[in-house]
Amino acid sequence: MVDRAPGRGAGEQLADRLRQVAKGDEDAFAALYDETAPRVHGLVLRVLRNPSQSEEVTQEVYLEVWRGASRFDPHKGSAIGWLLTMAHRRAVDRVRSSQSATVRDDSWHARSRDVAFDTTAELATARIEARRVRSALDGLTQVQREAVSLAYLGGYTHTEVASLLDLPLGTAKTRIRDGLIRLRDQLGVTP
Amino acid sequence: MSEDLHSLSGAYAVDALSDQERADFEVHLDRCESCRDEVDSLRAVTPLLAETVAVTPPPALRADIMAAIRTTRQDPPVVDEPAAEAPAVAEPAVVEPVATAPTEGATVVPLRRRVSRQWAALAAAAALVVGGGVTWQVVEQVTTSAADEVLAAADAQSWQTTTADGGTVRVVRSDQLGKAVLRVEGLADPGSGKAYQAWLQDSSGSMVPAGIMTSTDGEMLLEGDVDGAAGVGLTTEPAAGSPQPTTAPVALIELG
Repeated sequence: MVDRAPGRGAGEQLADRLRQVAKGDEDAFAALYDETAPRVHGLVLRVLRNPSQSEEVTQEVYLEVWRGASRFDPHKGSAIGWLLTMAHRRAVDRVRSSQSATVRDDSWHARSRDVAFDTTAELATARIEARRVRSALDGLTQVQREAVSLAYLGGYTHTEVASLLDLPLGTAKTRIRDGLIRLRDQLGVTP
Repeated sequence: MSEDLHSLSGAYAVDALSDQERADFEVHLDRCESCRDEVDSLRAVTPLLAETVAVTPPPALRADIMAAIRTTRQDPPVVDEPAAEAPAVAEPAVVEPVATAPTEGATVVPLRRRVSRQWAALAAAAALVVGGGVTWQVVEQVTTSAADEVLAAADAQSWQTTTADGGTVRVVRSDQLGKAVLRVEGLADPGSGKAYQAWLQDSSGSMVPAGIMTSTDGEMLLEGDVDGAAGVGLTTEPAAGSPQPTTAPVALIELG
């Protein structure tokens, strides 16, 4: 379990670590990695499916974090949001390059199986949070849930989501938006 | 149309736009505060979604990354550079005035006679011009089709897709004119007694007939409410058209 300073939220603590990383603090970088790597790597793996490619992309993401930590602006969002945006973009870019498209497993149903969890104590908090999020996802309509999952966790564009779910053009993007709005409201998320 | 751009906020927040759509939406974001707020709030959901798929990476990856950062230089923070020092103003050169002495013995032409001669020439030229204008004045009549107006509109946007048989289908829309043009090239022959029919798809997904394309290479103005259309489709139908699509679309284009 990460030692949390009293009175500071996890988000602020992560932002502090990024500020330390920007000054070249390798210990702060290691702590940042330990706190965020399961989410970054898990997201990248979900989009790419291929373990070795996922490790390559995860490494690229963290090197970019190290290189560009000074560019993080806390006024524009959370540290974890900044990190995951970079991770998702890199994973999606890897998918969209023509070379790796053929490597990808395109079966939506095969990917909807739950991913096994690491059972160590350090992830206990994450598992509780994941359960809460899954509960909120269950509160969406099936189409909303599938559209959001395919778009974010699957890395598809909204037109690809429309094709995969056999939806009319334009409907997928509205389902993605509606689904995210309901998740935001149910989970009480603030930017 | 801006309403359709607003609806992309969710897809943008989860990185589900094509590169072109993302670029277009980011232009929209610059001038739409409500979309910026919505994108920020929806993007805050993504770390929670990532919790549901968290997987601890192999320990070897951590070691590789920690080794790599020791040989990776960090970018400096972005700062505003102070304005460069203004260069010294060059000393203006002193120019010696050149004295022009009147030429002794020059013949001076009387002003009255010279002016009269100039005006006579001008009057003659003016008469020729007026005469020519009367003779050659013709207003050219040019008929511009509605389709050409759309294609030439300053605010025209276009979307293009390729059909399974290698043909090209393109839609060009002008929001100012409230019209759109469908242009096709190299389509396969639809077959005897059949034609290509265009459709406008509204935001609920319904298809509304938008006209019959009478050739495999050509263009037509789309009929119906283009402003409310979320997409354009093209199908093979009986030559007289159908009230609803009866075949799988040859092409589907989503309008942004």
